[in-house]
Amino acid sequence: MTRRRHLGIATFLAGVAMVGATPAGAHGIGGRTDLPLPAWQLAWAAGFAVASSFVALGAFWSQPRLVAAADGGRTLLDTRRPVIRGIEFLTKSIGVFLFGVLMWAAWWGNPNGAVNIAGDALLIWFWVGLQLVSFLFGDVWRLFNPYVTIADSGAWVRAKIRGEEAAPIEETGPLSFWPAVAAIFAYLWFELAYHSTDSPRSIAVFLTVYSVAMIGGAVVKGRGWVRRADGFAVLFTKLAAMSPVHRDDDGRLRLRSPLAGLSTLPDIPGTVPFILVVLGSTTFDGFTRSSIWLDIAGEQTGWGRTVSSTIGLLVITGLVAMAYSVAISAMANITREESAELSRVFGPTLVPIAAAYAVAHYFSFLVLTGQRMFIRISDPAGRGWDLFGTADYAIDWTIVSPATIAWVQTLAIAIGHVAGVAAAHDVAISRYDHRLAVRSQYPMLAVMILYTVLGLFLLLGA
Amino acid sequence: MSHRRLLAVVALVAGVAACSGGDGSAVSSEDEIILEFGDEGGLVGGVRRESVDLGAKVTMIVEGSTDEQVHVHGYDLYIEPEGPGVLEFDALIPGRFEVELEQSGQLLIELTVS
Repeated sequence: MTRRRHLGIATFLAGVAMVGATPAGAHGIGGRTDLPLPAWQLAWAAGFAVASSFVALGAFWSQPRLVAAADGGRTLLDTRRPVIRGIEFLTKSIGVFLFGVLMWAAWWGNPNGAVNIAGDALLIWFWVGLQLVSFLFGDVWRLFNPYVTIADSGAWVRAKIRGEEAAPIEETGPLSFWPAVAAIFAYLWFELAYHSTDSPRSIAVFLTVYSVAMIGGAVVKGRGWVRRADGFAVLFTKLAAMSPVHRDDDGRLRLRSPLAGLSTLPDIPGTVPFILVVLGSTTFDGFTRSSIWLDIAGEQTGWGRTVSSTIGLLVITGLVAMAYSVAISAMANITREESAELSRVFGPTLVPIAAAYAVAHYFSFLVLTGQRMFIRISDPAGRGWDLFGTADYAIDWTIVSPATIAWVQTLAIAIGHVAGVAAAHDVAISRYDHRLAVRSQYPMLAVMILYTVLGLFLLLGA
Repeated sequence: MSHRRLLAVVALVAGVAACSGGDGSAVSSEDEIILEFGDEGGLVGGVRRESVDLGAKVTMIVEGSTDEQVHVHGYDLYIEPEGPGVLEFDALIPGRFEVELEQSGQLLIELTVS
């Protein structure tokens, strides 16, 4: 770890400590969780996952299809057209505006998290909502991302003043995703381990420190910084690679096979740790709903909870990462290649699992607690406003039945598992002959099954 | 995986999902949940889990002393410290809810309504 990163983390913690005294009832997120899945449904999902894995590995295909389909696809829209550029200008303006509203509400709105928009906006609509949107509909966030807009505008102004061309994005910023790993971990720690996460002022401090790191980094390192250090954008881009919708190098919006984009994710250091941190954090979030966690930390409040949650987050993330590296070592034994190389090549095939975990854990949160957004948009700062006449909206908790939620969870885990196995098999087929490809995948298959079982186990909420 | 095959898999699982939407009929029953606070303010016996049937009439009773509001999440109901210490409600929202002390964030009960 560099000195600068130490400094960054120290600043972050100091900032959080400043507002840490605000008491708040933050436990997990939202105060409501789903009913445990019935055992027969778990068995069904696990059986489906295992059986389909073997079918996928053995019989489905012996030619790389996803890797081959990465660049093609039917053109939906030529985004170079002036009209589209106009729309992009509009979305970017909206992005900056909404970011401003969020900052304003967090810093100057009602300090009570139960009436301020900041917590719901950040956690539900931004974090959970955009993960689901990204893997379904592609990299929508790039149209709104205020950091990119600010960094690009800054670069443009700087180039104007100096009377020279702005440096190409690729030549600026960090050459790895490690800053993004630190950024996303900072957010996940804030959301899942820090005890005062729903206090608007805590959110304000977090967002300010995060934004200073993004904009400051862009000033020093160039605008490539916001593309590779912004943990949120990096995650959404990775999830979007699964989506059938993508934008090719010429700026055309095209439709391709789902998962095909995973092989095109930039292969730069930090990619795999990034995915594992996200996967580990969702696993931890599920784990905090188990009776094991209830026994360990159920009665804790304040900093005591922060400390045990931080340890829990690190341990669970470590275990998830360890399972992956054991599988990769075993694979390296079979194919006689370097583990590091294999880890980089197969890492992106974990993205579908991360997407599945996100759906399984947060789908009901989005459609149920997420309705609170209708109330909040009428009164973002909690000042008794009613801008759109929706301030008295009451959440309809019965909009999806427990049975529907349970099926969404089960199917997400099962389909995510199959997608992960399929993507990994496809990569293997593009590298090895059929026999070795299948053989090389047994360790990976084992780890995928482990993640699936783990994911399902967490849904038991036992 | 070809588009068509992927579609077939999705259609299959969606079909299975559609066939299983039936809920058990709501049973009307009554449940009493007692939150007993010790002298130091903590819940006697520690954090626990309680289950009630969907549609049940739930009576939540605070015994002993606490100077904080008790908050039932999801239902967004409160038991005030200076009030009678009794809360009655119909458990009409399914799910698992936290019941906690509002100010300190101390978890008391995980209430399962199913």
